[in-house]
Amino acid sequence: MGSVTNVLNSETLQAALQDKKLQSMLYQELRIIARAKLNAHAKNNDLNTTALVHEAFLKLNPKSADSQWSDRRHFYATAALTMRHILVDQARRRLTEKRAPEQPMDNHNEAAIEVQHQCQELVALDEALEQLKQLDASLVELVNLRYFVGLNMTEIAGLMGVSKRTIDRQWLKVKAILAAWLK
Amino acid sequence: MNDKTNKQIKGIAANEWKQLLALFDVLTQLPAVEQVQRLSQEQLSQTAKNLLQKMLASQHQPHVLDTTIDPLVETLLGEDAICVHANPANIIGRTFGAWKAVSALGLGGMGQVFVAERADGQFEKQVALKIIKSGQFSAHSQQRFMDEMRTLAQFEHPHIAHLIDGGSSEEGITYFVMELVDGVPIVAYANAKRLPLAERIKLLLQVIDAVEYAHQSLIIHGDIKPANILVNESGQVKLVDFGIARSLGDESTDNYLPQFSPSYSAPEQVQGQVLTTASDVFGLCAVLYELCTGSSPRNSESKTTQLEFIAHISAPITAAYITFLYNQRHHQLGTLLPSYKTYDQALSQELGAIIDKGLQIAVPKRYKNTTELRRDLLLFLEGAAVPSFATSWLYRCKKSVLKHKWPVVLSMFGLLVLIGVTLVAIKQAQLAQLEANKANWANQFLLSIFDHADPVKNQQNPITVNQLTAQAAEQIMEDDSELLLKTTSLGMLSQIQYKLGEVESAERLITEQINLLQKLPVDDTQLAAVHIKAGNIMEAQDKLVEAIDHYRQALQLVPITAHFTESSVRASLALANSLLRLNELDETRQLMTTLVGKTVQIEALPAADSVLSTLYAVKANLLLSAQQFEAAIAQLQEAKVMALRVAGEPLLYPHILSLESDAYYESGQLIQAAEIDRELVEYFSHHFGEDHPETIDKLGRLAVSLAGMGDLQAAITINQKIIANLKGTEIKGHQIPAAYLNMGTAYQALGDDKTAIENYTQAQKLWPQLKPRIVIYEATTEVRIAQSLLNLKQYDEAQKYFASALARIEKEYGVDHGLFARFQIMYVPLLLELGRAEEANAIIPAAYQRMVIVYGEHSKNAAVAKLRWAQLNVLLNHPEVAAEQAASVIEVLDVDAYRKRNQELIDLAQQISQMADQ
Repeated sequence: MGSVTNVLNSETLQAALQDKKLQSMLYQELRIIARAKLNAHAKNNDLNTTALVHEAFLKLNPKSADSQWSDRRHFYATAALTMRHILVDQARRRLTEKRAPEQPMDNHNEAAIEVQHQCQELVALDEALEQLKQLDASLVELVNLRYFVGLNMTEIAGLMGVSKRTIDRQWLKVKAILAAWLK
Repeated sequence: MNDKTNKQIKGIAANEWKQLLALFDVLTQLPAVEQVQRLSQEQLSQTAKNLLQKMLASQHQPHVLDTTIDPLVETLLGEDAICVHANPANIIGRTFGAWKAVSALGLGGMGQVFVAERADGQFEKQVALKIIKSGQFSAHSQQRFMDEMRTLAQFEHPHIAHLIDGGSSEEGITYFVMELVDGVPIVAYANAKRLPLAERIKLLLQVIDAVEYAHQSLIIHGDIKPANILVNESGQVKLVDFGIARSLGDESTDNYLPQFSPSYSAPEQVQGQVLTTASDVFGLCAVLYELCTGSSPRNSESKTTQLEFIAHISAPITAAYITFLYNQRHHQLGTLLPSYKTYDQALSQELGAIIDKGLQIAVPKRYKNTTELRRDLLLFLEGAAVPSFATSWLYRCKKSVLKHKWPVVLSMFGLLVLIGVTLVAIKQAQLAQLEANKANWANQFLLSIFDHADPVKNQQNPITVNQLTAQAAEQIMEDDSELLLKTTSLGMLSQIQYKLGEVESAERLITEQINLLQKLPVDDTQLAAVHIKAGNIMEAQDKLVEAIDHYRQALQLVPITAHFTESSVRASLALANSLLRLNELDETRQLMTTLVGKTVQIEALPAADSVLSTLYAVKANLLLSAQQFEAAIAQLQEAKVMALRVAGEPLLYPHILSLESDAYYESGQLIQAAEIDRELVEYFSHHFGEDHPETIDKLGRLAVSLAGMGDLQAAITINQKIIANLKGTEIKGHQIPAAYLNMGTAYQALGDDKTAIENYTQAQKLWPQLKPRIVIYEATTEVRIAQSLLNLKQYDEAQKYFASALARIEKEYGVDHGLFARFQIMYVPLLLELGRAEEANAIIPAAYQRMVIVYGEHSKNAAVAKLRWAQLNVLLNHPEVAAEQAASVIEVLDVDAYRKRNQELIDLAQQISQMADQ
């Protein structure tokens, strides 16, 4: 995937990921794509983040000359982070709403309880990832790409410019850390 | 821990984390035993060691990161998508400019649609109000949209929903107002109406007109999809949401809105490139694809990404199209016409090519504009089908079925093949013998026929094959060219009309043909063949005397004794069958004896199987009329075996099955009858379709057999289904009244006489509408009403109905007929109940004798008569005689085939037989 010089090193990438302008653009874009997808195929089309991000990629075209993206990795890393933010924001909102007293509790609904639980897990995961970022940002990037975008290991290895074996090892490690922390 | 500047994470210092993580990599390579040992050797804080142990232990446990987040994504983003305006409750009752939202209409890709009216009430007409979700419009695109709307508002086109107004509300919600279209999406409409292919394409041509009109004003629709193409009841298309999606979508990337529907939008649109008229062509063809195949190019069930989708649609669609044709038509085509497959494939390839070209990913390879697309579709229509033919054919076919048990089944394509082939055959077979100028006449004639069929010239008034053949016939009649050619053409056209169910017109043509032929020096065989055909046409109209006359003329030309040919055999068989229908049994028997004597010669004929199986069927029919059921069934078994070997006569086999079912039913073998009826239902619904009159007929028979077996509820259900299926169709045959009659019988057997009478009365109302009227059904209905009235103890009314039924039967069949005796026996219970023993005594013995003669001593009919006699004897105080009679009745009735249905009669007989013992 690309020549080595084209691949951002983790530090530069971290700096690039601070670019709030690109993030907010992606934030809006991904939500719009999701909304369109939900509206277009309310019944049949399961929403999945992979498709959302790919579609955003097609639309925003990181390869074009006037693009503000450094490269594909930059785009995907930002999109993955943004995707995570969208989901976590929404999960937080949902958790607050459910806590609000005037909201009727629908605890009788098992599905709702399940979603509630998943939201709590998601927020906890996000907090853990924020801490992990201080230890190893590339591990966080891996989780973002794998879990929040749904890319496979080969694709991620390609994006991050390392071998799949390395990615597999990293994945084992980050899962172990998060498991230990979240327990 | 060691260094204060060293930040701690989870109680472990950052530099120790590095060590820890490196160690983790090493440890995971080791077996579990060595891991513990190695860990104990490391210089690490206890916290770190504990954590490392936890990490190692967690490896084999389920992990949240191993699950997919997708289900949660849908829930969360679904909520995210709901904004204030997405809740219709927040919109209804609010005003937008001069308009007030009244009720919600639906949710579209870019917003919601409401029914609205003028807030000031000055304009009564309702309109459609569309709300653009806030945040979807940048100031720039809004300005653009408003500009474009001015152009849109000037659009006056019958197939474009008129844009009335538009703007921004006080809260900044963008809205627009357009003509409220009362219609359903194009694909749903075509499917609900079961439109044939040509009609579907014609619908799309209306859409193309609309799109082309807009393109001339440089407006691109940009979101062509079935949901935006509405069709009203009269089949008029209205395209909605013109230009709106595009003006939303035509934005620089910082606020690009994917409002279009990915299944139908062009690849360049998905990629955010510049749209051209070719993008709308893509949308039109995507809709055409769905109209023709039943599914959109991108199957919504598969989770293909946009890129996969693009790869997918570039594959040929021929396979999908063939599947569609198979689904839609196969049950009508069946295996009846050997050439239909190749014909269909040719069609599918042409249409497939059009759709493929329209769905090309690369814009330059696609149709440049709608004009090109329309041209190709029109060419396809021209070459493929005579528009609006299929529906009228079906109607004619139904009509013919009502008149005649032997409709000839032809598909739309098959028929066109037939016309083509016959006309070409006329040409080729005769060109050899004809001089050049006559050949020229044939050519001109051919051309003129197809001229009439030109759908481009006849767009407003599409011509049906019936009209086409009628016009052709007229032309032949007027033309004074070569007589032989004329007569042959008349014959062909007559056959076509006959097969279309246009029997009157077929008769006219063939009569004319015979007149002309008689002036010509033609050979006898040829003329005989025409007479046989004329006979068939007459038979179809129940003109049996005329039919017999034609068959006799044929036989005079080719007497079976002198000219043993297929024609002479067929003429004899047809004559025998018609005579049998007229109850001329003696002559029928004579003919059949002659034919059976020629079996060896018949077996040598090329069409031996067909002729012989027809022969056995007629023989069986003759045996049936003499109540010789077992012998008839034996003949039919032979006939069946041979009929199965015959190709090209689709109705021969079911005809034999029907006779077999009759034989079983009449002889009381109801289980076998029902089994055969089921086979018949299956055969007809497979070949003709589920709601074809023949299928309905067979269903009705099945219900009768089931009722006979005592399965009344099943019988009622089937009859209700028949009535429900036929209501609202154009079928005005015996099926509906028969279903009511049968349902009444079932209710009567269930003891619900009131409901029974209701059903009978419905049937009674409908019977007289039949032409010709069927006396036996009318009489049966009356006698059933009388029986139910008797059960309800309304004796006077019952008496009236019995009298009327008997009078009908007497008039139609005479007093010596078995039917008259049966009806008399049905009347007897009334007499017995009222103690009118003398009258009963005057009827029963003679009726019983008639039953024995007609149906046999051990028939159910005779048994019922005997039971009534036994009842009479009880009344007349002859209990011993009665008991003896009753005992013999039990012997006949208390068998598997009758027991369930006739339990009451059996009980009654048992009661009487035990009287003597007491």
